[in-house]
Amino acid sequence: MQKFLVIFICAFLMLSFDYIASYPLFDQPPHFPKPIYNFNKNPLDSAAIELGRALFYDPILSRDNSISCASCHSPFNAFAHTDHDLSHGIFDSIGTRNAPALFNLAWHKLFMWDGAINHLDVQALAPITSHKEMGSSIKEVIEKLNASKEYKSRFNQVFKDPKITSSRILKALSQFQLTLISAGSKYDLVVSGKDQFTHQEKNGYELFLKNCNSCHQEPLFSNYTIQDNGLPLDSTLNDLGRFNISQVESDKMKFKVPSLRNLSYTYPYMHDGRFRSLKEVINHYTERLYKTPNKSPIQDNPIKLNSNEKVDLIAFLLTLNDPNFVFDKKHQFKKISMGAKE
Amino acid sequence: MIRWLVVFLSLLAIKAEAQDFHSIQFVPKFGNHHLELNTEYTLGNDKITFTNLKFYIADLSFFLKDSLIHRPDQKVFLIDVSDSNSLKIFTNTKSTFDRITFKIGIDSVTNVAGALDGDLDPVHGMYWTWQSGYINFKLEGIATNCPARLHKFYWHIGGYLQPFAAQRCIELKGNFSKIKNVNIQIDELFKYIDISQTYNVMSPSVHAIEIADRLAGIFKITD
Ligand code: HEC
Ligand code: HEC
Repeated sequence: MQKFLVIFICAFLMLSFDYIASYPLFDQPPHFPKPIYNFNKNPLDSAAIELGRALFYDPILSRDNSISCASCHSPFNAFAHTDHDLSHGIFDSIGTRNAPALFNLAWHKLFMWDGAINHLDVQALAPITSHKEMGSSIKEVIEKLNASKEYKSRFNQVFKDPKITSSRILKALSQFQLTLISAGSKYDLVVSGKDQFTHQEKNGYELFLKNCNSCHQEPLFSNYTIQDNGLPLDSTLNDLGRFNISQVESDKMKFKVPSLRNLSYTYPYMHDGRFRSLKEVINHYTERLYKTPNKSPIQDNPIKLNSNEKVDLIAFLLTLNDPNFVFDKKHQFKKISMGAKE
Repeated sequence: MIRWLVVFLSLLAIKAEAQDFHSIQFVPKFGNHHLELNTEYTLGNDKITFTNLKFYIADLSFFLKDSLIHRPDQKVFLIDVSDSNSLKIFTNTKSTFDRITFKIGIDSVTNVAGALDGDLDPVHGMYWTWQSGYINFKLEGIATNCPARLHKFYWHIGGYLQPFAAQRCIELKGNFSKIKNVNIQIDELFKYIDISQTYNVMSPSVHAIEIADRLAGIFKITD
């Protein structure tokens, strides 16, 4: 019996050390739910985060050393690609989708506009391999990193072993991206009692709760599920969203709900960047809703807003901008790698 | 000194005994021929050359009279015809058995577990990058009846979500001697799958399921 007690206490201590070891680097905002990412399998570590940051900004991940993750996910745009409706990749090829902003990734269940990727740790394989993005392969990346003295010593420092493997590269990239937490907007200050909405913002907040919160759920401003928000198909792209993955008829034109944080930095909007302004987005929801065969919930309960209400709603959406996150130096490029050409 | 001698002797003993342990030897075949990559085979009016044959087996288990007697610690093995070492799986059991079971492909839990190592490392080319998931069974080659460019066909069979979950269970019964050959009768697939219709299968789909459903039939035991 005593033996069991000792084992139990040891196990408990080990678990709590685990907890302490993996969580101080993860800034859990008090008003956020528990993250979905399993940190026990990839405990955050400051050296690994820095390695991930170096990789994220290093074009060594692309075939001709021309494109880094940050080429499409710029820190100054909340890690989206502003001004480009469709993303631009290697050899000037144009992708079929708008590069989404990257933040609060620990709370996502699925990745990509159609949820094609099921875990953050394997996400980077997609851009590294895509002919329209970085045009390389994980094998080639491992070879190139192995040829870099600098990277070898950094991997050694992080993993206590100089071996460069796909899972180490991928987990380091995840580590950096997991630290991209946006929770410092005016909305967040209001929630924690440090600021107050204006009358207009408060009105906008109420309209938001009534019309938008079912999908763009606070405090993340997305429930990160796959939904149809009534956009008509762009026949030049023929992107049917989730249907491409599931081939289930009712998944046609369903896309992952994006967060509404940092909208001022992430235009243009929607999976194909079809709207350049928030006004166009709101008008889509109130007037131009396309009758999809899916019976989207918004079609059964049409969103009706007068012009004052539209202005108020936009005023609220702007309180979700988080300049503290967007201009945070610790997320920006720091020259470390030998692989990167300036 | 004596202690070392004992250790040494017991190591020798272990090594000698290792030969008595059961192992499974996969033997790729086309009809009666031993299947080699990059070699042309004839089937009816079709000439077929295989350039790549790889697949995952999982949860290999050995039974005697319906009770489990052995399951290797390694859960998943990548079998790659271009790497003869991978075709043989060693066990550490010597007891007799009358049935083995295994699965072709990767279960849904492993498919959502993120970046893995060893045989599950994505460097092996058995992971879809643009849509998460392992390729359970990969067969590539050139067939004269295949209408694609350069007559190349690609069968990448995988998928872990319903209705296109492609992992399949295999059960083989028989009289087992120590080294068990398990033939992989690739020609069987071509009896049911028309290469002039189904030649580009690279994502979870009805076509992948059509081929997955035939996989159980290609594994055959010989003595
Ligand atoms: C050529 C531009 C481009 C490059 C380079 C690029 N991405 Fe992306 N990224 C995109 C696009 C476009 C999407 C959306 C793809 C889709 O929905 O199919 C995306 C999606 C993502 C997502 C999913 C976000 C979400 O909310 O679902 C993550 C995470 C991500 N990229 C990280 C990276 C990392 C890490 C790298 C570098 C290894 C990288 N990206 C390189 C354009 C790019
Ligand atoms: C039924 C769920 C649903 C509701 C309700 C909903 N949305 Fe959306 N929203 C989505 C989906 C899904 C997308 C992505 C669609 C796409 O790109 O194809 C989206 C995209 C957006 C975008 C673009 C964000 C970006 O980064 O590209 C904005 C802005 C937006 N919605 C605002 C709103 C507002 C404001 C409301 C309330 C008036 C609202 N949404 C109601 C599901 C919904």
